[in-house]
Amino acid sequence: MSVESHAIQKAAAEFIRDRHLLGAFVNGLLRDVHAAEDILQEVWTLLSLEVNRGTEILNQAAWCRGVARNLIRRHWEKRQQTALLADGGALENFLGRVEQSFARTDSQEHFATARLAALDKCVASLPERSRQLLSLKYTQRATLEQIASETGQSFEAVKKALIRIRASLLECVRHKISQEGWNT
Amino acid sequence: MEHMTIDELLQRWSDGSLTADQLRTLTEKLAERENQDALIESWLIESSLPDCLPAPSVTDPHQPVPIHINKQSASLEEKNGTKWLSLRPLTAAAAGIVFGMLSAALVFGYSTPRILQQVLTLANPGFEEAIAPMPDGIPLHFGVWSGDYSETVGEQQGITPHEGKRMFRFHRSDSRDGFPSRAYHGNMYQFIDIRPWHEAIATGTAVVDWSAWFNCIREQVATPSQFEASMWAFDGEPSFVRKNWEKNLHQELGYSTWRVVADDDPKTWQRVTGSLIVPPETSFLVVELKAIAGDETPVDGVVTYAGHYADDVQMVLRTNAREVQRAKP
Repeated sequence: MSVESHAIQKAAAEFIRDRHLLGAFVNGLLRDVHAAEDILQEVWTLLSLEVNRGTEILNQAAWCRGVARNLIRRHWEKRQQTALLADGGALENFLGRVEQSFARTDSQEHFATARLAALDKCVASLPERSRQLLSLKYTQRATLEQIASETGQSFEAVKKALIRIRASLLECVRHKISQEGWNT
Repeated sequence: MEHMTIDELLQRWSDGSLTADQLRTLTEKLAERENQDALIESWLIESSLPDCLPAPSVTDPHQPVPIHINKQSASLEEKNGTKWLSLRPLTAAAAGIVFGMLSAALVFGYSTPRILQQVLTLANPGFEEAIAPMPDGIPLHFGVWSGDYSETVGEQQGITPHEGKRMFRFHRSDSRDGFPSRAYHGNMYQFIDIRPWHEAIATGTAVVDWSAWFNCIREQVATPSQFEASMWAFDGEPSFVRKNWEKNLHQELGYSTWRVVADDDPKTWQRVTGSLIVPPETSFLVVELKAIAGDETPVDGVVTYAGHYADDVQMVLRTNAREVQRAKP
């Protein structure tokens, strides 16, 4: 195996290992799943180019977050999301804090996997109706209006139900994490 | 300002209703470690939920024009989120490596195996290469676009490619093979050999997510054009497909299909997408792109398309890591 292919394999393995957290970082900031996918693709593209060039990247997770952050900023500017960009300083501080928050996970090997395992269990324990609502929103990507029409509920009722389900999932994940001693 | 918890602030960020003051408060709160964890947990759940939920139902009520589904064909969904690492040409060289590593990492490295995704390689998926699609009707071989008369073009009639610099253009509804039953539709096909993935599909739960994008010039007609994309699963040899369709044998193992009505806006591309549960006996898949003219009147039995385009065809095979492991001898 060539040096290049070994390096790209190593980078790919690391990228895949960290993909949940990088995905959460990008998707959380963008709040747009399609744009988030594009940016993740772009980060991988840039990373693979850099690795192929022979650049040594000491902290790949941090490098990817940094690149993603720049791409996100560019995306916002391109879309002229003025509400967000109006107070550039505040937004920049927020981005910095978010990046700092995620940086803490770099040294916590099981941070994402423990929470995803907990999430699997928590989703499985939800009532069927809640799972259906989540499925419409997250798997079928239906809008709240579409879910309301499909389920015969009002827009507000669907919105509240989804917020409530999400909050209960978050609570459940936190509970399991603390129960199983993963929260260090 | 009213006191808000970190979760409330994050919810507002998430739904876009956070004010500038609240953004500052959220930023301040993120100095604390427990709030940092709250943020990551919240965002991790949001972005990982699709992986933890059951597959969508067989029909999607949210698509504009539902089409029938046959045999073992699967869910049709407005599924926009699973092209994860469906790498574009720039990274294609690394794609094999990435997916090889993805499988290994997921199967052996995690306590909770998750969904594996594998890009199925289409020839010229974005029509970037200067290889004209063959006007030979239904193909007889893997890895070529063949169908009715068509071309690949750059930006044209105010329509820019959905990705890259070139796109596919439906030209006419006939082909050199003169296959009659599709005379008023523009069709284009490609066969994809999936025998290398026989282990991955052996359990019968593997799913192919497919998608294609379509666009059309503004039409001043009463009945707008429609676009359709389909995915078919067959066993046996590619040459059988032509016979199957000519003689209406219905020997396909499964198919999924979806259609949209052209939105009369050349500035927007419309995505047609679906999923097919891959029957374990499948040896190859067929992807079909179709333009259905609205008010166009056939001249000598042939419709000519004024400006009907397709681009960026993608296919991703999803398998459950645990089941793939079990299926291995």
